[in-house]
Amino acid sequence: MTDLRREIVPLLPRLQRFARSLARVPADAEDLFQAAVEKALRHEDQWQPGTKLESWLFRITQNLWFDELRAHRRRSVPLESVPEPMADEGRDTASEGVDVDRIQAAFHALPDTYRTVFSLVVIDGQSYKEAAATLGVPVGTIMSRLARARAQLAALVTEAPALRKAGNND
Amino acid sequence: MIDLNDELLGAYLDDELGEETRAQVESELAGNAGARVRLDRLRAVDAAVRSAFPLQPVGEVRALAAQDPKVVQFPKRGSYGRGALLMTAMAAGVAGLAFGPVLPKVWQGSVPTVTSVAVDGQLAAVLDREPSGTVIRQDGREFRVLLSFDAADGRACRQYSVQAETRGGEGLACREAGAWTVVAWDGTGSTSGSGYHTAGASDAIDAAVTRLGGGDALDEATEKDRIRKTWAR
Repeated sequence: MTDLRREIVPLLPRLQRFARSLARVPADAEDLFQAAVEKALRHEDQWQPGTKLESWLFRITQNLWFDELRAHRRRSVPLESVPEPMADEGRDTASEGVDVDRIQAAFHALPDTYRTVFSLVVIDGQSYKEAAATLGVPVGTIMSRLARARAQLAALVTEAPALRKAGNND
Repeated sequence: MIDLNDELLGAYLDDELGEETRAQVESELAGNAGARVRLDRLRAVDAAVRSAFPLQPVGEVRALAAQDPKVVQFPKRGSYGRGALLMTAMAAGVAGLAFGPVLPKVWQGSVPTVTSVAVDGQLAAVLDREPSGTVIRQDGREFRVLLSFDAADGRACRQYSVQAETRGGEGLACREAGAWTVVAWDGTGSTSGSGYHTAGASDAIDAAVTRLGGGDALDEATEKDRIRKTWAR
């Protein structure tokens, strides 16, 4: 097994989660994830050992997704399609009552460029500098896109139980 | 006075501010209830989205499986949901590759079929010789055996953790025909710094122990006896 193949394996869960954050439909996310790994292995010679492998993999994934968007003219989910909070009974919940469907729908309603930055920094935990390197944009762009993403998400999902609770704490 | 706009609050949340700016933000927040409410709302948004996109075990990665015959062949897409142990075992196959050569092997037991992987030489040596609680550092990895127990089918099993520079996790290996085989692996926990899983910290490993019908952990004397008379021979 080559160094690259060995190094990729522990990064797969993060890469797959990134794909899920980009593609709303699970099957699309899985296809994107598989295609990204395949492309990385096919272009193994382009990765330089010693450089940050995850940045390279995330960039490949993002580029594939944007290619897909261009090819099929897909767009983010329209804002109006974000579902209203469900009744307490039967709500699809994760920890602390967060309405997962609603949060995911709100997240996928973000413009693709905002969603990508939010995913790298907030979900994956990358620094602004790392995200900027991955996306090939200045750190200032990361900051402004993040701020807009957060503002839009806050407006869309404020009624979700966990957020309502947080807002009431003050 | 500093303008607590969303960019600055976001950078505060993301720990991206220098010490001086951070102190200024905190000072301003102390006297600005509206900004505190906004900060809490943004923090709640972050937490909610994070919880909506958890790390998940990875199934078959076609490109890896196709190009390397040694890679464990995972079930095809759509086979998730056959039980926590199977999902744990799939994660074991993927994450286990990071810790050395593996040999695919399928074990048929009374529980659902699982794909298990042989351990590498270093881990095998640790499992063979080290009592629970011992930390072994070797070639950039830290191994720690957490506990030993006997499974319902008579196999001896040991729970352990492995920590490399940027990755790590907790595993469960059982001894069969004189060799250790990883039957569960959880690499989704903390892997930074000294982020060891403590025994029992992984729900996936706990589920695997339960399915194996694990009894009480072996006491120190019994474990030492097994090491001397069986495992290390």
